[in-house]
Amino acid sequence: MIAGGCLTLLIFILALAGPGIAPRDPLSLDLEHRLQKPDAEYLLGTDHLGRCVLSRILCGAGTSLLSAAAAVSYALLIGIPAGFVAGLGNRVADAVLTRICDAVLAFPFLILALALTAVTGPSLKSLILGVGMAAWAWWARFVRGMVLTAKEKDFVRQGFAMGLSQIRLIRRYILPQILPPLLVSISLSAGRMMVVISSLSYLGFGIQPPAPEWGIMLRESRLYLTSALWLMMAPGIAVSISVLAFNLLGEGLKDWFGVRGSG
Amino acid sequence: MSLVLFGISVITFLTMTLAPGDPAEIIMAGQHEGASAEKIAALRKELGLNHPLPIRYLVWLKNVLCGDLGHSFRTGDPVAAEILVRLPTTLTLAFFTFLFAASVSAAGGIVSALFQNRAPDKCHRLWTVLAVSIPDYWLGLMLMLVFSLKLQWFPVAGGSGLRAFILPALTLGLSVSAAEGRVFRASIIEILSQDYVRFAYSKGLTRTAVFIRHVLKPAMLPMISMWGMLLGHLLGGAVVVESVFSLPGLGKLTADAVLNRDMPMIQGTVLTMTLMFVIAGQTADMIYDLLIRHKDFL
Repeated sequence: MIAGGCLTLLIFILALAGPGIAPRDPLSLDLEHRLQKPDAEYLLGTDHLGRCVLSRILCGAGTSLLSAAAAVSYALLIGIPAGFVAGLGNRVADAVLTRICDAVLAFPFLILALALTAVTGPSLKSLILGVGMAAWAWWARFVRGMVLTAKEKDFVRQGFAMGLSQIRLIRRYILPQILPPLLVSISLSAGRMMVVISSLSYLGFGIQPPAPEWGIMLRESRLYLTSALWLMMAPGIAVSISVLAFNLLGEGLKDWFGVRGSG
Repeated sequence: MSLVLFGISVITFLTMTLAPGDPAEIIMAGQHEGASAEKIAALRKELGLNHPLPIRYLVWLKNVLCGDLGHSFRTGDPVAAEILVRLPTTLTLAFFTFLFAASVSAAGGIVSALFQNRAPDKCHRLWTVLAVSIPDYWLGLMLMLVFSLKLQWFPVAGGSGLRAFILPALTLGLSVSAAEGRVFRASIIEILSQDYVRFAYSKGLTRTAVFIRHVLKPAMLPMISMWGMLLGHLLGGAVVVESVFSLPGLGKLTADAVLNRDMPMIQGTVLTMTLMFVIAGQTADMIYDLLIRHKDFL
């Protein structure tokens, strides 16, 4: 928990400060210093166009984190209200929403995200939209299940019997119950989203070169697999550590809240 | 079930139909004989693009049910035939991944459940968190670097025969085995605390006998439905892993189709993989039901 929290915080700080502390412009080409090994001047070496790998990693952190965060919030923005409507609303709304969720969840996640991305063509925006649109149904079902359990608790029924307004009931009685498992799942899913987004970027479906992004950097480095190992190590380790941070945070929150198996 | 299938078909149809870009123009642009307005109009009519959406959906659905998934924008070949050619590769990959992930997760789950909250269990938990944190494509590149380029044990990319599947299956199986291992551990631990296990001990059975007969067998039940769900993860992962290793399977076909914006091909592969996923889920449920009802199993 503490390790995960600190690591996540550190990555966020690095991502925010990235463009500021990067030693060089991540886009400036320097063909005289192509594929240089890491040394005192270029701490992580240079890529095939002479761009400083360290600067690209630091500037790419923001892109990777932001796109994962955007995809998660996008999914939450649709999924949580949908879950509440299905859990608290009338039977028809519940039935319709549940059917839609069933159909969306019948697709393998990455395949649906890929297909939705394909609709608008490869760009970071459509990638985030596609991933978010593929993910919301999972949240809707998750929230619906928790709301259904929460609203059957005696004190919630008592609140209902006392004639509290729907909004107050949700905010003071139901939300506190579902928040801990929700936070755990958000943290775990942020890590998963980072993997998905960087994988799709690696395949060339997301953000396009020359922008510094970890998936793209790996895509460009695969041609230099044997000759320039550092090109592949730096972004790979950066992705893994960031995802690990979110996963550790999620695991820690799970223990802390005493949540069992979610996500 | 039929509602789900209906939903899948509507979503697939709508996603691909509402994509910007006129199919007739895309096909014409693919052929180099100069696209005139009349030719495009003629092609639109031939493709039935002038009909309203519901009619187009019904025509499309009829064709799909008859096994006609349309023709690729890119090559003009029938989509269904191409998918059938690629299918065995992906199924082989899925099979090897299953073998690897099932054995690793079984070992991990058993060891960590037996040493609950002790060092081996903590190591296992750390390992599972680590394993799901490493992205498939990077792991694939690393394995390729070490085993194909440095040690030269395996072909770098493509290659033929079953050897070509070993590294991709390892790559794909790592995160799957971690997820499986955790579920298996939780399942074993839950059963270990049941009364009937204590009863089995008190009958004088040995530890091993109790563990194999009364704990492992029921603990495997949740794994069956888990495997049904994981096939979806596996098919999605196949897109990435097959691209990394240049395996000519369904995943690579999908990835290439998306890069080329080859809509009928995307539609076909998405539909095929989703159907496989649905069938796997249904089969898992069926096996689960059969085992539960079979009185000698538990």
